[in-house]
Formats: sequence, structure tokens, C-alpha cells
Amino acid sequence: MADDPKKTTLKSSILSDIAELLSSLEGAELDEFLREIGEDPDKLFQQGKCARTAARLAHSRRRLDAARELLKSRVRPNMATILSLDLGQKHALLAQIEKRAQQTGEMTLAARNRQKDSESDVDSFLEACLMLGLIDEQGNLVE
Amino acid sequence: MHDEIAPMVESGDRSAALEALSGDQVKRLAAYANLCSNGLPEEGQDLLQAAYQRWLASDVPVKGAAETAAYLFGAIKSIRSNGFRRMRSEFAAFGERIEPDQHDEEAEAPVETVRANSAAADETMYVQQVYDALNDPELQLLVLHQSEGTARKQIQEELGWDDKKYEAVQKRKLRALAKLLKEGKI
Repeated sequence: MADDPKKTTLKSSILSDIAELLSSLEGAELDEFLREIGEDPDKLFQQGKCARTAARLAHSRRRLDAARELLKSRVRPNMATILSLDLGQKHALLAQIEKRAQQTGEMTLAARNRQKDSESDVDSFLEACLMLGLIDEQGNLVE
Repeated sequence: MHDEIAPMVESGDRSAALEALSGDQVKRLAAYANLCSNGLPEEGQDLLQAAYQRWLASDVPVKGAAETAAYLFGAIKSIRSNGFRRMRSEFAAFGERIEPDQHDEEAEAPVETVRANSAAADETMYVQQVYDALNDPELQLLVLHQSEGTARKQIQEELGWDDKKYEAVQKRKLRALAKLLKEGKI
């Protein structure tokens, strides 16, 4: 006889019938049946609760793992070229960005006026502009 | 991708749906998971936990407790089937080692064998095992007919059973089989 993976096996059919039988029983009748087959109804209830708690924890862990992977997969913009510019070039780029931002209104006044005293202030502002897509990784304004 | 992470609110709803299961529903599911774990390396509680996790991760709409319980029954059965398929593949590829009974002084060394790649042969052996374990002529007859896929009407005709008799024997058979499954005899 050839194997037929779609054929219902006896065990599978027994388990379906038992699921149906279990679903038809409730209360004292259910407990009586469970004892008859060697189960302790109270222990089963506890087992169910423990499995539920463990499932919730495992599910939360998986969500956190997925979030961690998502964060990892976010590629930080490559700032190497922009950082290699000298301070004068960076300020020239800043001036271009601010001029464009004034024209288009795509950046708030507060953002345009934020502190850019030190080179590191300038670098972090340029990084924010790169992440926002105002400039590309080569330090050119994005049209 | 953002949408790979289920929103917290939705996850909370699904979790609340599990809380909403009645005591009887929880007991039925735990008992069923125990019966389904028979023959698998996983414990009943592992099967049940996996079914709950499948529910929490699924996008099946949350309805009532009855629908949640029905989903979980299906999930337990499906996880069990996947487990058996995996075991069959492993046995077929790597063979199986059968350890001798430690209490049997005459037992020899472990037997190592590659399982015959035939589901039909396994099924025949299982029917034989169930038949022998039942030890009740009426239950044996019913199992034999059902394992051959004979329709209920035909079984009743051949055995001369009316509806009441058929249902009584079927009920007795299921109780006996559930007990045998729990005891790990079938």
C-alpha cells in the first residue's frame, strides 16, 4: 500500500474524537472523566495556568528579540566623508542647509538656531540632517 | 520590518482572551495536551505552552472563549503532528536506538535500526497495538472497522447495532482509548 500523507491515521482520528468528547463534558462530569483516565483535575488546572504564564513570558521575549533585531538592522548613516571635511567646509555646508531650510520651511526655527558652537555640535547637527535626508553621505544638498 | 512586531494592544487582547478561558476549558486543554504528548519527547505542558504561544502570535480574530479554545485544540494537534513528522524524518535519516529494559537481566545491547520509511507499515502496527490493548471484543470490532475507513452506517449494518448501541460502544471506546493513551500503552 502506498503511503498517503493526507490519509487520517487511527491515532489522529482517536485524538480528534477525544477532543470532541472532552468538549462535550463539563463540571463534575468532566472531572469524573478526567479522574477515570488517571488525571487530577486540579493539577490540570494548575498545569494550564503555568503553561499560560510561560507562554506569555516566551512571547514577550520573542517580541523583545524581534525589536532588538530591528534596531540592529537599522543601518546608521555613514558620516565618514562629512566628518572628514574641515571645519570651514562644514560651516559652508551648514550655511547651505540653513538657507535651503529657510526657503522651504522644512526645518523649525528652533532647530535652525540650535547651538553649533563646537565642532561636535556641528557634527551632530550634520548627522541629524543626513538622517533626515537633507544632505547625502557626500555632504551634498539633496534636491 | 515594523509590522513583524505585534502591537502591544493587540497582544494584550490575545492575552486577555487566554485569561477568559473557563476552568473547564483550561482543564480540557491540559488533558488533551497530555494525551497528545504521548510518544513525543515534549511534555504535555510544553505542547500546551506552544499552543498558547501560537495563539499569542497569530492574527486570528479574538472572538469568544469557545473560539479561543477551539483554536488551541487545533494548535495542540497541529504541533503534535509536526513533532511526529520531525521524528519520522530524523529516524529515517539517522536511525533509531532502542535501549533495552534496564530491569530485564536477559536484555541485550541497544538495538540500532533505521526505521522503514513506510507510514502504512507504522499505521498497521499501531492498529494492531490498539486492537490488542483494548481487550474488549465490541471495542476491538469497532476500532478495526473504523481503521479501515468503513462508514458508520455500514458498520452498524454489519454488526447489527442500532444508533443507541453504536453511540454507547463509541463512547466506551473513547474512554478506554483515552485511558490507554494516558498510560502510554498506545
